[in-house]
Amino acid sequence: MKSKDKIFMTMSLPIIIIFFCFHTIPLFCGFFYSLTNSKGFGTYDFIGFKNYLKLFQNAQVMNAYMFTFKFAVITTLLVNVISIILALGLNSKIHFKGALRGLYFVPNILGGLIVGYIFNFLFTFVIPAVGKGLGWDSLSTSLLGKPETAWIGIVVCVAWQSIAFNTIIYISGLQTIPEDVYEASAIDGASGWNNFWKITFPLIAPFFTINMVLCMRNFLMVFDQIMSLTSGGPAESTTSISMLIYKNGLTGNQFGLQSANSVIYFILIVAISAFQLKVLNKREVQL
Amino acid sequence: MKISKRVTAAILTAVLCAVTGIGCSSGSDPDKTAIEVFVFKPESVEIFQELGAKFEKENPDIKVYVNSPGDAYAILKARMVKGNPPDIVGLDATQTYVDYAKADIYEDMTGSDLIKKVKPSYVQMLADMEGMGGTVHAIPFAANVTGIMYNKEIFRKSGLDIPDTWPELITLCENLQSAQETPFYLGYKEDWTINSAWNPLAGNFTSADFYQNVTDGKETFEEAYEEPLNRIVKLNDFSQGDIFSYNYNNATVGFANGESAMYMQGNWAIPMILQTNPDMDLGMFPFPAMDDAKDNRLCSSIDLMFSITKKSSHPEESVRFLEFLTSQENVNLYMENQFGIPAINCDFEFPQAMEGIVDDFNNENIVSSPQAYYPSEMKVPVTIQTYMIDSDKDKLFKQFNTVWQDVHEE
Repeated sequence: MKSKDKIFMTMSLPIIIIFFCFHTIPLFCGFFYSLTNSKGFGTYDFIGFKNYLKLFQNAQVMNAYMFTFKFAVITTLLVNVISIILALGLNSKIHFKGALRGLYFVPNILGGLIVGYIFNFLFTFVIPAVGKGLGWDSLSTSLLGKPETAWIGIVVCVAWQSIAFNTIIYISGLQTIPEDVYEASAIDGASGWNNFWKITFPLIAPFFTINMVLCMRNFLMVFDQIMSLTSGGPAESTTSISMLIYKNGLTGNQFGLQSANSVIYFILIVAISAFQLKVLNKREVQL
Repeated sequence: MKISKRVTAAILTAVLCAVTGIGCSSGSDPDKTAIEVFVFKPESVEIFQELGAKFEKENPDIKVYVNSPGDAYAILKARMVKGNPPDIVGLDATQTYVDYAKADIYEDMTGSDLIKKVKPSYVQMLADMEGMGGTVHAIPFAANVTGIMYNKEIFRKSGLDIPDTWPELITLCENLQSAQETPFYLGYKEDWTINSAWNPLAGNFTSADFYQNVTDGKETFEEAYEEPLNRIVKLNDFSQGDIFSYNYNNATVGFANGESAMYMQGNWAIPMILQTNPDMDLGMFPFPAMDDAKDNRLCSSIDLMFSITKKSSHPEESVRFLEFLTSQENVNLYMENQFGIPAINCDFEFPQAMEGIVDDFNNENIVSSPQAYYPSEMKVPVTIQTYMIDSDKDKLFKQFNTVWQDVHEE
């Protein structure tokens, strides 16, 4: 056993060192700066926890949190529902199954910025042109141009891209379910809907858990697509937390304040992920 | 959870590959001194590379690296945070520059041989902006002008004249609309483009010591900005509509293709307009912000100025490069390529498209762009964009005042 431990140690040590240097140290640096009034350069003073107090009084920061959570919750639900439906379809006995699975995976290969720019073009020029042609007022102006609707455009774009990866995870989940449980349920006379809720869904619950956690975490950190779709506008209605940290921290001279913001943000994401894992794990069943 | 572990493992491996895969090597010549020139204008990278090559030919001992990334401000900030600034930094006149100057990052240029080559009005503008008792930390190289560009063909067709006052501008817009023409193409999705209308308006309605007076409590934003705000919102009535859906590129291309008669922008947009439509008959006139033509001044700012960083290990070579850049011949090479206006004293012929602003420029009937005085935390364009949407003037002034007090207290 001893020599086996050594092998594992030598395998994981380089990764631990790299992780510590590029992840843990910057985290501590960030915490250090969050206690200062640094602009990112030049001299600075320690101001204790004042930045943290300021954060909670700042309307802009609060708006960013509101937007990000609204966005993350809605997109997570949407992506998971559509992914499960797609996975069920792609896992059934259909023609061109392989080709279709490949096709549905394509959005995941594309970069967030590219997808964002394509959707930007669609929202700004193509959809309004169609809307005008059909005479529909609600579609004849760009979704992204109004604060009330811009977030919908971002949800659509991000969901379109994320569904690819989540579908693949659900398909792999569906393939772990043995055929005999369905045979047994058929003998008991269970129908499609019952099959799904009583057998399929509980058995892919581990995959549901990982998808929910990954989605929530990814969407809370949404950045690329917003950058290319709206850059946080109009009227800052689509500024996510990471966008705000980047914009105000790096170009808005609030390096210290936004470092405090990222510390709070980090704690929140860890807490939410831990909570999700705990709650959703309980629902999982093993055969 | 087996699969999820595998997924996690796969993700971790991918991340590790990405992390360790990053790494680049740059070839270096041991006999040459290398200097890095950082310029915030990506559109000027080609001309600077050309000038760099010319300089290398004349100075075989120096190698020039031109660096002009997108999102230059954020990247420059990252370099400053790391304590690894470029040798020469080329920025425009904003408070970002002033912050760096105050943080003692740049060499003092006051009274240097280089600064003597610059037109006195721009040295004064820079000194006012820095507000540190007349010192300057950069060499103003190119100036810009914000005004209204117009399609001469559309003006001729409808028999319209250039407006000298605000009421004339409004009448002109109404006439254009009744002739089924769009007066302005507004690309307010990118909030910075709001500056092109705001700078001439706010600049003309305030005096040079307004900002100091606000700090001292003698003047207020509420009083000074009431009218500019009303006027900038009024202009939205004369747009193509749905103004927060179109960005700078859409607006520039739209104007170049004749979709609007006028376009509020600075002279930096001219190359792109002429690239889109080389046959366009393009003109430019000063923004008529005031009710009386006598009170109206041309809005101008420093478009590009160069500083040498204190941490540069090759300050002498950097000075040599700046001396090379500011020579008559090279200034003209740059201005011709970029449709710029020199801040350097030299013989210069304005391109035809800018004829309409030459008089004001030569008579120094100029107002400095207020953008240069706003701290970056103030985020003026976004705030005005928000105001255009929610019409909440109190919120706007609260934002302006809070930031102004925060920044100027320290």
